[in-house]
Amino acid sequence: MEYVLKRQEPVLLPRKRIYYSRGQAYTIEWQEFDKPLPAWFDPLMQGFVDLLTLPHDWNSYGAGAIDQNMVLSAMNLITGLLGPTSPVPRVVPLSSGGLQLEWHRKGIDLEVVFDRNEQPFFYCRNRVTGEDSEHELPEDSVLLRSIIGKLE
Amino acid sequence: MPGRIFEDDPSIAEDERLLRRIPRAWVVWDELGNATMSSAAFKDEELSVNIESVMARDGRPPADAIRNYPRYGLAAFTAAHARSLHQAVARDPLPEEPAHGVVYGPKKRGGIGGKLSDGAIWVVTPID
Repeated sequence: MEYVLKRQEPVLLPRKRIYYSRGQAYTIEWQEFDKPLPAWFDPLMQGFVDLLTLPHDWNSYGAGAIDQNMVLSAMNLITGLLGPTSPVPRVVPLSSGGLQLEWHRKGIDLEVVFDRNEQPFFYCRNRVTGEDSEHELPEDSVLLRSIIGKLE
Repeated sequence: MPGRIFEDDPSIAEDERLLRRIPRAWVVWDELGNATMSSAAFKDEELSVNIESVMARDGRPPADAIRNYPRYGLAAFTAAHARSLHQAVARDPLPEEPAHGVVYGPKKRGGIGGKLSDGAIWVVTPID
């Protein structure tokens, strides 16, 4: 018997997931190299889809629909920053039609804000020391990735 | 009605409680399973509230603010707390809500929304 070793070049595979919210279905399609989905993927995407199906006046104070462009912007930025074992953020709507991603772990409050007509930014506060700071995105993406890493 | 400007109303006492409805989308469950309020609930420049003393004057308990909103929570913070964050507190009665008021000022930056949330308590706690 003669064995032959051939190196398989990695190939991009089409992937698709369907999420349901308030009687509506949303399909998310993308391409990536074959690897398992991280644990945060489904809850995060479900959070995004749940924003898209919020009804008019969802906050009882007259808020309108969440801007789909804001959701896409958040989706693209955050999935590029989360690692395989990152904790999943909570996806929270803003009255203005934007959204924010929130983590409250290990004494840290972290919010990444995507709002209409504004550059995305993140706000971080240490609940123990009271120190807080605010940073623009995508300029300070490396810092944001580092802070998310400390939340694991 | 965004775009209006409100001046602080000194007739609203420092210890006046201001009530804010909290829908499920703004409830964040902490690591111990307790309901907390997202800062997102407190970021409107023109933040609508109910003024508790006006409700009391009309014989309405605080929970009446969520009478028509099942599964909502109800938060309260004081006028003094809002003012400490450079917010104006004003009356803004509406035909459908005579106790309506506004906490006016920028809140999106500098963690103001979160600091307002820090000073708020549950009057009616939502249940998971």
